[in-house]
Amino acid sequence: MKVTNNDQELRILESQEVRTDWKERAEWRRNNKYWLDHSRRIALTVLNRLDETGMSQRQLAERMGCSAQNVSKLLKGQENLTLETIAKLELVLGIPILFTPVSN
Amino acid sequence: MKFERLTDDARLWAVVYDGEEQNVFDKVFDSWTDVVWLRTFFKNNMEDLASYFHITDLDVAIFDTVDDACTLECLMLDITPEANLDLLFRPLSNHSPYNELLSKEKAKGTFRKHSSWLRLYAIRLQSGRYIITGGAIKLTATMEEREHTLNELKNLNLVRNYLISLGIADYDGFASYESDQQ
Repeated sequence: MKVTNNDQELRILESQEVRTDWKERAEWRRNNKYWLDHSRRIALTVLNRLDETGMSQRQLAERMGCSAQNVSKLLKGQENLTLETIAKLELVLGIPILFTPVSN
Repeated sequence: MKFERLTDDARLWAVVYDGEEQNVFDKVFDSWTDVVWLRTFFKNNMEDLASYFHITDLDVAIFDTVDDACTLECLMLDITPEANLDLLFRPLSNHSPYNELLSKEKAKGTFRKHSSWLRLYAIRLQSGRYIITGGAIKLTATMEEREHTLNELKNLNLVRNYLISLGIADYDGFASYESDQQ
C-alpha cells in the first residue's frame, strides 16, 4: 500500500532526534574488548561460584565491604577491576580467579 | 513511539517504544554484552541451546554471543554513506513483509561450529531507509516458537501500523544482515 510521498515521510522522520552516542559506546566496546573479555570471564567465574555456594550478591557485597551496586556493576563484566578487588574476590569466594590451576 | 536517527545520512533509524528511555538498538547491544543478562537468558533457554546448537556449556554460549555482538556492532559502526543497506538486510521469509539482519560470521580464531543467533529486526521503507524495531537471540527455527522472538514479530507489526497511521505505509519488510554475504 503506497499512500505517501518521500517529502511527507522525510518531514515526519526528520523531526526526530539524531542520536549518535551509540557510536561512542560501540567504539569504546571495540577499543577496549581486549580487557573487557577478561572482565567478563571474571564476572562469569564469580556468578558461577555464587550459584555453587548459594551466596547472594548482597552477601558478597557485605563480605567484600562494598555496596551492592558495586557488586552489580562488577558482575556485568564491564568493570576495569583492580588487583585488590580481584584478590578480595578470591578470598571471599575461596577460589582462584587471577591464576587458575592448569590441569595436566 | 519515537524514532531516533542512527546515521547522519538518515538511512538507519531505531524505535524508542513508549515508556522506554533507550532506543532498541542501544538496548539490544547493552543486553548482548551484559554477562548477567546473557546468563539469565541462556539459563532460561538451555533446552533450545542443546537441541538446536548442541551447546550445553552456558559460558560458551555467553562468550559466543558477546563476540558476535561486538562483530555486529562494529559492522554497524563501519557503515559508510556508500554502503548498500539492502545487501545487509534480507527479508524475514519469502512471504513476510519484514526483514531481518543477522550475522552468520564465525568468529576468527575460535573453534565455534555454529552460526550466529543474533538478529536485528527492521522495517524497510521504500526510500531505502531502515527502521530497527528490535533484536533477539534466536535459538529456534521460527520466531513463532518462542515468546521473546514472537514479541519481536509483534513489535514489527506495531511499528508498521504506527507508520501507516502516520501516512508512511511504503514499507518493504524487515531486514536481516548476513555477514556471509559480505
